[in-house]
Amino acid sequence: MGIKAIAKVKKDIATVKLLVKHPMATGSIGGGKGEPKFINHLSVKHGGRVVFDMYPTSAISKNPYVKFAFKGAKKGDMIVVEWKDNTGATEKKEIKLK
Amino acid sequence: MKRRNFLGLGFTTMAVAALQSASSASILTEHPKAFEAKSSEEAIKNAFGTSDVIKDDKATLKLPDIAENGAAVPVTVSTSLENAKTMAIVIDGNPRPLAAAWELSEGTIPKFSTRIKMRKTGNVRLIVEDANGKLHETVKQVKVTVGGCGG
Amino acid sequence: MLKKLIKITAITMISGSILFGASFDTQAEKDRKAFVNYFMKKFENPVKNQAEYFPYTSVEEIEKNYIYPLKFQDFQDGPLSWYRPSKEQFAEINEFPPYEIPLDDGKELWVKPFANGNTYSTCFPDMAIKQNYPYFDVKKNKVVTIGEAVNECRVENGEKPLKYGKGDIAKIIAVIAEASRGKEIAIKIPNENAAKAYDAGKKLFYKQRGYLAISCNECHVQSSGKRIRAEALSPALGGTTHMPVYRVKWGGLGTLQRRLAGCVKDTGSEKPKMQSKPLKELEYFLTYMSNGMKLNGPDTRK
Repeated sequence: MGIKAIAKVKKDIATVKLLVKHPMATGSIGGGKGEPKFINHLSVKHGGRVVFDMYPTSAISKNPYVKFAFKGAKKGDMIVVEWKDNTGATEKKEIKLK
Repeated sequence: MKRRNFLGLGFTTMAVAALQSASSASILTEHPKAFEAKSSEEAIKNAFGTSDVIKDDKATLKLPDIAENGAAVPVTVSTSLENAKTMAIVIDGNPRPLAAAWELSEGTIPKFSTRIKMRKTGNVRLIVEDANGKLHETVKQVKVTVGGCGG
Repeated sequence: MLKKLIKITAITMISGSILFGASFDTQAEKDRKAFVNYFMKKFENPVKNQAEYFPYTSVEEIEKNYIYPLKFQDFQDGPLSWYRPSKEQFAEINEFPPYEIPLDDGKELWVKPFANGNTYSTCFPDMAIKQNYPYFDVKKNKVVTIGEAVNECRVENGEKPLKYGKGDIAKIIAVIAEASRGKEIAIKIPNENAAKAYDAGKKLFYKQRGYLAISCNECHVQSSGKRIRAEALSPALGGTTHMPVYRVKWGGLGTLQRRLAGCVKDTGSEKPKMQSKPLKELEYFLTYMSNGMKLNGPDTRK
């Protein structure tokens, strides 16, 4: 669906902002029409280590935005962003820290 | 949760990472009822085993007083507690109050921003589970208007 | 020979109107300067001139929530220019602006070839053009908006026109807006008919209509800087710079025509049709009033 990222390193702290294209549809959960479709797991790994582990629901806004930071990063390192939604859809993307 | 006990036994970061990636146990898989609960109290009880909270200043919840639009309310959560295990946002006025949870690990700075949906004016709670499993709560009331001129 | 004669005559007429063009915007320039003066004065020091401009707002609220003095270019931020709580909330939301996703879609649409092999770049080789819209087309004798120009491009290249207001057309306009960011609005009034169109738009702006018997002027000039409950009223000056706008309530991008149609409906009138003559004339007048203001679209609003 699409993962956009702004990822910067200062000293050894990486600050990451993600904007993920996903409808985060509440549907029948909110009493509306349609099937709920929302990311229920969003995680980020750095060097095989999980540095961000979030369990969203349909109460997170459409095209979810998250911001987080972690220690032990260097400019040029790669992080792997991965999400899964309640219908089983997934997406994975590698992002370089600037 | 079993995984957390392993942390307490002093395993190395590498081993923990291996365990984390090997096991699929998470607040979602272990406490799915928390995500379906229809009241804040039920959600907290199901997620953490208790709804007893300590109201102190260990958890910080940044939210506007009046939301420009309930569909996307910017929020930042953080905690000063060291080795906190889990953070969760619970929105009283939503059909399913548990809005999101974060599981914390070493090296991750316990400060997150996101945008939440709020159905109506009401309390938003930040629950932080500390290293001993005790819950700390910060509450903020956010006003949500049905508004926005034009179209 | 006849063709050449017609061409020469046409060129003479056009250059004639350019030479005498100044006369067609004399009144509009008077209006615009008065418009700008009003807002600059009003938002210079709301504490000092509270009694005159903000009689229902307490000095405490002004000191807590109002940003002042506003410089001319500050007005491009609409309600966020003067109302601190809104400005701060949108600054947070814009840490990663929601419009980036539909803008990306727009960029994909921009480079996708039409059936005949051309793309939007064939019609708009220079994308930094939004500051010239809407313009009065002397040949077609009507106001032409950016949305119409996009659809004209499509039809000229054998494609079906897009629906106005939202969806793909808003995404394509977003690409043009992004390329035009920072350019100063430069609307022209080239001939008498254009001056008439400007005038019609101006009359609509000041007309009390709908079952609320309210005019654009009452909310966005006289009541700008005040609140209707939680609605911080935006100044009409700079009102068009941030289009197309990602509105949180729309969950997507929308155009100025869409915004204006909705606003007119809010006066308790029948919703005007997008790209109808009156609504385009209103857009023409409104955009002219912001001549000199830098474009800052796409942007985010409630």
